[in-house]
Amino acid sequence: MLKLINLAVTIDKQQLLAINEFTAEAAELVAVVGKNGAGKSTFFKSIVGEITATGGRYFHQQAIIDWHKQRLARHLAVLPQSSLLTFPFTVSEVVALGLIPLTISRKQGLALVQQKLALTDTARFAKRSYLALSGGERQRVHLARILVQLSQAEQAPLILLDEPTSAQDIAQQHHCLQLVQALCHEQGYGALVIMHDLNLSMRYADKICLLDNGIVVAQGTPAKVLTPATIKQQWGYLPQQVTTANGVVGFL
Amino acid sequence: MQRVSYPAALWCCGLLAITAIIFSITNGAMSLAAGDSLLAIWDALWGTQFSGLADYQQLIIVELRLPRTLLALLIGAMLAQCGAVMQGLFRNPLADPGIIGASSGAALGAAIAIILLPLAMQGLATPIAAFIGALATTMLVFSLAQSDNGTSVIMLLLAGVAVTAFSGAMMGFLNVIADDQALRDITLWQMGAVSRASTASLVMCATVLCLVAAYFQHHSQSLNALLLGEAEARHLGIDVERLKIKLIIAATIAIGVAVSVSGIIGFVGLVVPHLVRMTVGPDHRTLLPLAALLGAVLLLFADVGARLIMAPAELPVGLLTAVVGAPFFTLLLIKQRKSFL
Repeated sequence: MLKLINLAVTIDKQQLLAINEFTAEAAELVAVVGKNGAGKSTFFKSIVGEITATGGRYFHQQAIIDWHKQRLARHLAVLPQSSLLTFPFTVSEVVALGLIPLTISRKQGLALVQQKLALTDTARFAKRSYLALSGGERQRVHLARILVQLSQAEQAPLILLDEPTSAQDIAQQHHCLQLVQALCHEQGYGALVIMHDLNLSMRYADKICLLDNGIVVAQGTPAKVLTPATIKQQWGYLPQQVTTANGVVGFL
Repeated sequence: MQRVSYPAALWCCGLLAITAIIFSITNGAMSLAAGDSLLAIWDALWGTQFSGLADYQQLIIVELRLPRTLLALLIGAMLAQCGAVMQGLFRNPLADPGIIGASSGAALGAAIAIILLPLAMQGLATPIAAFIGALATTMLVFSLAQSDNGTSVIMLLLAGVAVTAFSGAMMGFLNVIADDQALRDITLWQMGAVSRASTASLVMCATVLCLVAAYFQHHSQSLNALLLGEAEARHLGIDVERLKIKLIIAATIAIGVAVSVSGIIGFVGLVVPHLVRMTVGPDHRTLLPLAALLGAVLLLFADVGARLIMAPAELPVGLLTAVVGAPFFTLLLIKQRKSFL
């Protein structure tokens, strides 16, 4: 669904990103990992055109710049790491902002907002001010917002999540990734997720994309990409690999 | 905080507006009975003879108080809406046309037109010059305050200070070369007053207000999205760059017209949207109409106050709004204090 060819970002003569070829498929959760400064955020920004990049970006076989803006918004959504919102919207009002690119009635819209609030476990503070929430709660509210935004997609939608679990507690981290995984496997969404926690990516990703210096250094199944040896090479720390009784692999 | 429902707030503002209008028609240097005063307007419209007022009293109502009342309503609505829109664009509740220097830019433009152009051309040229002044200052302040992480409040306020200082100096310079008539006009402006309402200026204000308000309302959802941040608004399918330019132009047209007619009336654009956000929330779909209504009401009350406080002498209404608005601004600064340090 997403295909990037020779995507490159150069700022002040310094090459920040050089992706020869990258594809993401529908119904697939791809974890984007790499140490700090590896170019993960630049990668996301270049996909959505927030920073100028050369090369080809295709979404459902059509160049992204040729997509009608509103139609693209119904198919491609971004979950920011944090938002600049400082005005006292209620939580359900923030989620309802996801209705902006849609073409549905007010009543349907309200039902949709309720549904996504429930799905992201944010319904109980629907009437509270967004500003009164913790960082993790805010992330979930924005997740609900982008799910509303994608609910009218005609083709498989793609979500870009920038560290969706960074401010969540352990239960919420799993809840959030289980939700994203279910969207991918059951509803055919494509997802690119920047992750710092390698154990979470081992557990939930279908594919891992390892970035270093703006270059994809490895791509493939978690078991193939993330080994103690690569982790040592990339992050400079040699972890101990453990396998639980039911076959889940993790690093200590 | 508990919010008030939109219809309830509309009703409330509507009732306040009616009260303010009656108050404004009946009060002034000469106090007239409410019933007779309203009938006098009826008489003037339909040529009847219902009111028991003397001819000169009728004249006061129809020729002086009615136009003045209408002008106060129109200017108040325009200023409040422009304030609300600018705060949305800058994502900051302190961005008032007066504070960021747009009003003083407009005043400078208008002053240049008054002093340098012959009287016959001033009718149309003054608002246009005021618009150009407002647009230039707003664009300058906007580009100075804008950074990748949003708008910097400190840059916003300081750029406003710089722009205001520059226009102040230029106005001083113009005062030196102005003739007596022009000087009187300019002095009135700097203080802000709604007392000189001609039919032409009323028609111009009403037209601009209707057009601009409709335009803002059309973009109210986009303004809501913009509060999330520019990148987020873009991801929601909004052409942010074009939206910003279009809204700035629309807002500065309204500011230019308002300033060219009534001079600098500060703080209406700051106080009113803030009060509305506190009662119904920051959603621009409800904020904009209510801000217009409440802005109209508050400026009219302020103008009645300006007429009564030192009667039979009159205060410029801009003095009154500044006396109330400046402490309010200070309170807002205290509230935002943490974000500066």
